Amino acid sequence: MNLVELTINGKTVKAAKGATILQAALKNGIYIPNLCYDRRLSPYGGCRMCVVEVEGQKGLSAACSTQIREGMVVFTETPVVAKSRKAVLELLLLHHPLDCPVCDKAGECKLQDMAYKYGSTSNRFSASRKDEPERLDSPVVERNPNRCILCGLCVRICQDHQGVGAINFIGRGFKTKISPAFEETLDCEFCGQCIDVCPVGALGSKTYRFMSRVWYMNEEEMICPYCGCGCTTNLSVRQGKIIRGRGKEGVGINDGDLCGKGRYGFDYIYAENRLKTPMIRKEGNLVRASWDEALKYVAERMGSIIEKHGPASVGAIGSQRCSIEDNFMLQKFMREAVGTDNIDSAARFGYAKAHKAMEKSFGSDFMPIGWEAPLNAKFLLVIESDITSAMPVWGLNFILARNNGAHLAVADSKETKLVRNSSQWIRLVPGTGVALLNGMMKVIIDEGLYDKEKAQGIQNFSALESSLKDYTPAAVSAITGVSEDEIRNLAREYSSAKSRLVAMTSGASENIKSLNTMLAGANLVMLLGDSPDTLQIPAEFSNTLGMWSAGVRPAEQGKEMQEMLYAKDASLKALYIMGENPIVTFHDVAAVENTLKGMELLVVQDIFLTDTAKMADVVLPACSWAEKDGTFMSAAGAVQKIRKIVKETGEAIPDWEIFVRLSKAMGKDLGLNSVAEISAQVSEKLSTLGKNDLKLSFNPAAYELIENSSSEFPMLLVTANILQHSGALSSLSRNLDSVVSDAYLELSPADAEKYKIINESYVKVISKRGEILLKAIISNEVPEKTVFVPIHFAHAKVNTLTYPAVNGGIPLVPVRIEPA
Amino acid sequence: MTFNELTKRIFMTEILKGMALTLKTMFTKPVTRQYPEEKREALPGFRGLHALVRKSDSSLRCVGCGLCAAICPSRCISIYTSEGVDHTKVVDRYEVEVLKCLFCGFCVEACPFGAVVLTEHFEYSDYSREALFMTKEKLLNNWDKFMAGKKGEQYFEKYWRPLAEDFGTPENQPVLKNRRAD
Repeated sequence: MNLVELTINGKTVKAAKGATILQAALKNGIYIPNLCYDRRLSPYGGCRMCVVEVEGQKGLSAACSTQIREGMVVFTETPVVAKSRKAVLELLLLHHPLDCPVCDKAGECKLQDMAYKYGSTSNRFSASRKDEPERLDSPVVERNPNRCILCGLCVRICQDHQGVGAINFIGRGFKTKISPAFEETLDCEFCGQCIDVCPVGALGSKTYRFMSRVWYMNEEEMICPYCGCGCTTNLSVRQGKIIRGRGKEGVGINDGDLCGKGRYGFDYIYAENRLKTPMIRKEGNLVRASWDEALKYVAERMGSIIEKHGPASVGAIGSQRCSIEDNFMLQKFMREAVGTDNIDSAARFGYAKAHKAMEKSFGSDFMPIGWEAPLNAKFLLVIESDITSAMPVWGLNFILARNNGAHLAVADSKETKLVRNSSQWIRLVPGTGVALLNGMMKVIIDEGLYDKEKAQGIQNFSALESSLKDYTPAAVSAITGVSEDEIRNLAREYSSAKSRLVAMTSGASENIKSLNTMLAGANLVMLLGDSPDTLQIPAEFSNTLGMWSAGVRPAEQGKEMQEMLYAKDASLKALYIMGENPIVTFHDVAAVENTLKGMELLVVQDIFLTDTAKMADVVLPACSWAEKDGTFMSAAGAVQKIRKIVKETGEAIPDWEIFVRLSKAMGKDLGLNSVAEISAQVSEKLSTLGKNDLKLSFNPAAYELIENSSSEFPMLLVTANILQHSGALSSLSRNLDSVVSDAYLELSPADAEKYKIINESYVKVISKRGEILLKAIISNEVPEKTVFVPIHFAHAKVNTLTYPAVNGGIPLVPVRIEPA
Repeated sequence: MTFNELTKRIFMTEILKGMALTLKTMFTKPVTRQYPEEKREALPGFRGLHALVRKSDSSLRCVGCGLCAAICPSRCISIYTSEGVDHTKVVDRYEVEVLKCLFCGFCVEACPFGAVVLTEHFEYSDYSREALFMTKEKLLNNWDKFMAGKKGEQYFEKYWRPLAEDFGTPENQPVLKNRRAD
């Protein structure tokens, strides 16, 4: 990197060529006041607070938009500069109301700080202040146009960085204000990035409104409990209660970026159905019990089942939300104290597919995503995934890559946020991503565009070649609905790009992709001679990768999830569930419920009284993520600490401690009694990850639907994530529920007309497994013959309709819809 | 023992000197006040027990800005606010731990509205800590008891008047777009 040397306030500093004075100064610890600068945005030069004196230059220069030159001499605090800043502040304070006593920003307000430092105590001008009504009508975000200083940060971060563009300047002159179009109610994705960048109190968090003043709170850095990004969120704690979350520049992998979940989702730990004491089922009802009583009961019952049916009749389900330590203790307890290998988790329907694909194709046992991988590629191909909603902050890197000039091609059936921010939208029939990839590979092989030397040396190349025989552009076009030319062009452009990336998500709730899609992606990567990390498949939740690596999966002979919960013969007698709610989050609820009812002993260890816990024989209360120490491993493979920042709820104890006590109650000491001891063993186990040699091999992947639409069930139901929620956990957050609180059914206007469905009316969705009632939303984003349903909400029971699939077929659900 | 000391001891000079002083003060006015029967007027600006100012419509003047708590060196003030029904800021709790307070009066000076004050009342000893934990209601009662009416107004003008009250745009200054500040 070219470095430029310049002098700021007599101090010689070095900065990258092309940087601005402000960037060079901030990087070297010299603060220049600014109101409209943000590290993520291009210079704006609107506020004129950052003016500095440059030697040899007439007048003052705006530091945020003046590039540095070799030998430049800059003074940031001179009387002339101070006078200019004072005048700017006088003009800003002409309109800015001095309602600091009731403004939540007071104490961390940039304008307040600057007025304190440079501002005058009286104003030479006078003008009437704005008297606009406060806008509190939208969820989560409040707007106070009177306090706005029109720096434009919110507008720019929303448009340029977040890729939404929900707000803009409205009106002219003194009447200018920030508002959504036509001054309507704000209806955006509610990420809250605008709140963080607002230098004054014009945008605020409604959930934090008048809750506290900043100087009462301690700010704690915590890892967000939701998706696999592993963002650091700064949680403000007052009197032992978390009252707000925000991102902070320079903190965590996300560098201050957060989505709505990270910013508002923390309050699920204050849900009303938190478990406070252990409970044992007595005469059909769950009754409160003491820890000793409950653990003794579990130990005795489990002991007798092991004695009677053998240890293989016991199974366990781990949690992607619990820490690595918790999951490590679960598998240690099951393997050493119980002696069973029947350990699995919900990742079986999600990340396990990605892992299997990576293992088969690359021979790799540990493939975390590269956080900056999207930024290093020139052509990004995203297959049927809305990364911006499954991994919102990582998704921002895709938008950034597009903004930096990379080509972002998104193959998706629905018009998602990523599609809106893409360079090319390949609109295909849902679930046909694997066919598209195969079609691309066929074109690449036929036209000889692949890396012949490398690809032909990889195992199974001929098998791949023959398997692609049927995927001619014409055939693929018929399957995917994408024109032949588009497929050919995509294949040509993709293969000729300088650097490439294939990305897709691996959510358990997504039924448009399967193992085959991921294998096809891996094939494409190997065909063009790219390295395995060209294929980016993130782990779904905050600790999916950590749980997986800690050993919560069958090692040898153990039963996988399908055998445990969906097998017809009831070989499992006891099930231990940690932090999972199969009745809501697993597919085909009826089958799961049936299996759980047949259990002799069902132990549920959770933080809430979930629907599954209500069926349990014993319920053990555990600590939530903010109430215990531990570590999470993000999708990028970073092991990050979580800390106890608030007191535990009721008698709850951390999950790992439950296993320590339970193993002692069963008369077997696991020999680990603290987080530190467990962490030592865990890090020993994790240190072996990703060390094995890669062994590439092609795996032909065919396109097939497990169940296709028929005349009885003519529509295909696609289950998906929505941006504001993550799994079923976030639906217990009051803040996030104020944005979206119920499942809905999105369908195209043509289908709505065909089935006589009115917008926002209820519809019956019927599959061969059952029927549910959902509110219909008619949307242009959705293609015909397809309905989209978010999966997160327990009461909607969407999983009544779905079915599990871990192999290659695409598990789309054929349904019929009727007006209710 | 020297000769001088011996004579002093024999003639009891020291005692006689003392008795002379006693005799002299017997005829002067006593300085000791017979507290609590006899009470002393507080000097103007006295810093006694805390109170929260009640506005003329009997509501609380405090808006819960928290500046008093921010400046308090002994951290004895805690304020809890929330959003009221009409979306305004409501002070739910305003608590002063009087036993922690060192009566510096910074809170009064920091208050931008003159809403928290120190009254002239200082006789509030009690047997329990709870009685000296001042809640919002107790603090408002203090105002009614000790400062309401003329006295409060006088104190406000003389001691509690926030600095912000004196700022403003002078009449003869240029006005933008012919509009005067409201």
